Amino acid sequence: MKKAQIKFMMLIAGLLATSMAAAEYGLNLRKGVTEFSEAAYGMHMFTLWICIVIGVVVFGAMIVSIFAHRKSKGAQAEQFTHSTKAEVIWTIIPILILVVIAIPATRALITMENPTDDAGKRMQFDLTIKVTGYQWKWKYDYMEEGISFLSTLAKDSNLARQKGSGIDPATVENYLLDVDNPLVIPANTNIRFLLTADDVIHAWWVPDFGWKRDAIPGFINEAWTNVKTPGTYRGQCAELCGKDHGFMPIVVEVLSQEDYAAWLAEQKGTQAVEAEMVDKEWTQAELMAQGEEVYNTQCATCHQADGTGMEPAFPALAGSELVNGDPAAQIDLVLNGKPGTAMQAFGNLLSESDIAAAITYTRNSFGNTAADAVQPATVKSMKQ
Amino acid sequence: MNSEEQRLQQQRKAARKTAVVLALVAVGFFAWAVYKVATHAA
Amino acid sequence: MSHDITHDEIAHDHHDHDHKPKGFVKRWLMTTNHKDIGTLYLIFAFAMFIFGGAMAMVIRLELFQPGLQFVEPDFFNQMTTMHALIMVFGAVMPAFVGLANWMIPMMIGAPDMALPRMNNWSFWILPFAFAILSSTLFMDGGAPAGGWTMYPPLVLQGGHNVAYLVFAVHLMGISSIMGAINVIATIMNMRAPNVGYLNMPLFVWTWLITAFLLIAVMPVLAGAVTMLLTDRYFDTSFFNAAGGGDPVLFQHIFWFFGHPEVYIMILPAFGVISEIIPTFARKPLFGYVSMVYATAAIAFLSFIVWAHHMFSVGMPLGAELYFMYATMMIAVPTGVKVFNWVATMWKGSMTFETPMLFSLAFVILFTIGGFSGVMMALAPVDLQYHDTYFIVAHFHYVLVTGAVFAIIAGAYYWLPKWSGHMYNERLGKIHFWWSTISVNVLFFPQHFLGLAGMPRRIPDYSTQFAEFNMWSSIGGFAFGLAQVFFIYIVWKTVRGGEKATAEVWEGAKGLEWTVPSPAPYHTFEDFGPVDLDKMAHGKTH
Repeated sequence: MKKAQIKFMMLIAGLLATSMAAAEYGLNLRKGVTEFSEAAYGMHMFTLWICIVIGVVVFGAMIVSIFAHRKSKGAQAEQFTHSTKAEVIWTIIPILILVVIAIPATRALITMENPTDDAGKRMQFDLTIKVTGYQWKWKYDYMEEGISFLSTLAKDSNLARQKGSGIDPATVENYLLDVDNPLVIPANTNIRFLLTADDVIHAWWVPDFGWKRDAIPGFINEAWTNVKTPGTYRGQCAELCGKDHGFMPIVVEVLSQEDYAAWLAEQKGTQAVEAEMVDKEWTQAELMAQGEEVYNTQCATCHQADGTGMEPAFPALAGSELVNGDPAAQIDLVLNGKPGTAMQAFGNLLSESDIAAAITYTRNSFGNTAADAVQPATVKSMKQ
Repeated sequence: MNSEEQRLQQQRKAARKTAVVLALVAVGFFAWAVYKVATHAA
Repeated sequence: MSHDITHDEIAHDHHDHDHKPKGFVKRWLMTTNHKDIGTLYLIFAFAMFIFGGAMAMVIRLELFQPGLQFVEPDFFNQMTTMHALIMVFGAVMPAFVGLANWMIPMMIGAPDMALPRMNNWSFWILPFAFAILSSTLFMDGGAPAGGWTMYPPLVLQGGHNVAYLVFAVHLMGISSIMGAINVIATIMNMRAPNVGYLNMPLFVWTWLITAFLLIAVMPVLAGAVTMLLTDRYFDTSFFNAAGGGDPVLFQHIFWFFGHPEVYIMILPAFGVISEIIPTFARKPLFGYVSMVYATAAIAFLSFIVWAHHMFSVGMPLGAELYFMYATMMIAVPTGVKVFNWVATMWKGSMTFETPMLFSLAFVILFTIGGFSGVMMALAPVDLQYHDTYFIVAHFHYVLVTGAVFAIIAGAYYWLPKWSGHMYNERLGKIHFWWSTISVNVLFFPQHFLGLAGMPRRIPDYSTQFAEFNMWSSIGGFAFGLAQVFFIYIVWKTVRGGEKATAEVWEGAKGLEWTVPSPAPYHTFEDFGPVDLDKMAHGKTH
């Protein structure tokens, strides 16, 4: 029996050692790159160790009892039924332990919810980013800069994740954790996030920042961060939001403040060019080329790449009465969406050029015969 | 009717009373939940 | 242990004066007998356990490796949603109601449940409820896919399965409430004349408290889903922000139900374990009175902690602090329970039959689930844990190795009393080790997945999560198979085997062990006082 006991102890020790080593290989909570994520990590480890110690004591007593107080060893059962002293002790000690845990937890929570600067005044933010969750993509608005863009699953991940795609996910870099347009923010800057959603509830989560926050339609939630180290940080939507909940990752590129300024200038330039494009007359070929691109990133998730849809939730566009009928009705639907369904109001989501191109594409593909071109200017006029 | 059956009848009667009270409590909780939501100012 | 067949029992076997109704319809469909209804509940719960388990197998199959191999994402979401609804409302809750039906009258010396006809009704609603719910799988648009939490606005996108879901939940709720009313009415009115509240076995106590929880929260759930229904079909805006409603309010209402609900699933488990450990330690339960108070304290706390499921919705700091502190408090009475079980074993004279093995595993594995529970009570860290596989691991530790292990332990413990036969101890031990090892391979790696950043309810994942998902799936398939093996063991025991004595277990206390095995169709019909020294525990001195 002694031998068995020693063996068992060695097994436990071995398990503990492996779990320590495993912490190095990303099995544990990430320490992250913000003050808050480090606080969360510290508290996680502290509580984990307390639990391990309690576990060793309680399970240890159990194991001793199991080995020593067994009938096969001739143990006689004592008949005591209670001990007020013991019961008071094991009520008081847990309370004390909980108080010890609660103190750092309270402090960390206050930093998250009521951030203050070094002088103890309410923290000032240098940048405000509005994050809007859509089924199934994110939109980022830089409130002070007036720029905004959508962020969707990267194309190679999206191809590989289709059922029966035949593409091995291991060959895709950052499979399911990559996007077309990452959020770009400066390092060492107090950044405020305003989170909301357009359709259902989503949650914005980058583990390295240390928090997730729900994006709720009709509500604006607040959170903040200040990232110390430039780099690329990846996360995912963390609230079930429909069929492609697993496919709306978050990528944040944190740049040094100089690089960020350069990036910002470039973005403003591109968005100005795009604004001009709305007023020009597009050729059919231009619309179709742009439309195919937009359709495949924005529309194909539901309506499918071949326009056959997924009845009854997602209607087919191939042969659809609406798509082959008056363009105004289709533009109206795309701009304003259809309440109570997954069809979003794309008016706030895509540029007029993209909407016009996508509509043109659907009217001239999948065997549809509308054979007309919808101009961005038309969409713009209907938007007002 | 012997005393055993009488006792059973008595117990059942008391049990029915308990059940009615509990059912009313349940209905109360239902109404309370709906009331809370309906009067909640967003 | 010896199982001598006494003269008395032979007589019983040969002169069946049980007056069981003849014919299938009269015996089962129209039964008002608490033992038959208990059996029906247990069979139904087990069927649902296998059905919900099959869905879990689909989930684990799809998650076996990265990429989508077997099902589309929407079907995957239907599986996670239905798996949870069926396991919670179809398997765990009815299984405990089955145990309550069988055991409570026999434990308090009552001839039957207080309201036998309502008892029949509350069972027979269940098959219809689950037929309605399951029928959505075969409809256009499929089953509900918005998660068992049914959060709007997502759940309302489900087309017409919303109506089926809501009506099914209504029926389950009505069934549970009637069951709970019956339990309370029985315990309050039907005890043998000399059995006081503090003489009752702990299983009866935990069920009494559970029944009060059910009556308080099932109507709240019914109210919440009714408002979902009117939002979907009658243009109300209870939870629709565009119409002035509040989608977060649904979550508050849901978790006001949902948190007590998880105690509804674990308190009777505490009761079962508190019956089994003293028997096989041959020692009275340590701290009976503090066990009762701890149960009541847990039940009370369960009403005031609900929003710890919602730390990420953006509550004011004060509310978050309050819910964090209140949640941490639950560790105190729960700790008392665990310490008392260990103290019951201490200086006992233990043997390790299958029910005891499952109970010991329960104490250790449930406590591991409790540890992760304390960790996620801390709001600032929960902003990391929330909605990840860390949570999935946590609640499966408390519900599978907690509630389900307790049900299995109870089934082995009382099966000889129900069937009159001993199960095969060797097969029982195989079942135990097979289940315990596989369930840990299944759920333990999920802690790592969650900490490494894998969200829950996703059909496909980044390749860094591949290895642990594969382990988890292998454990899942093995655990599923072990429960099929359990069917075989139970079937074999019911069909035949070594005859069980009235006492069944050496050292077993409780009125149920004073009646022959199998328990006669009618027990404790004389309404006389019972021998309090024979009762499981409680204040007899």
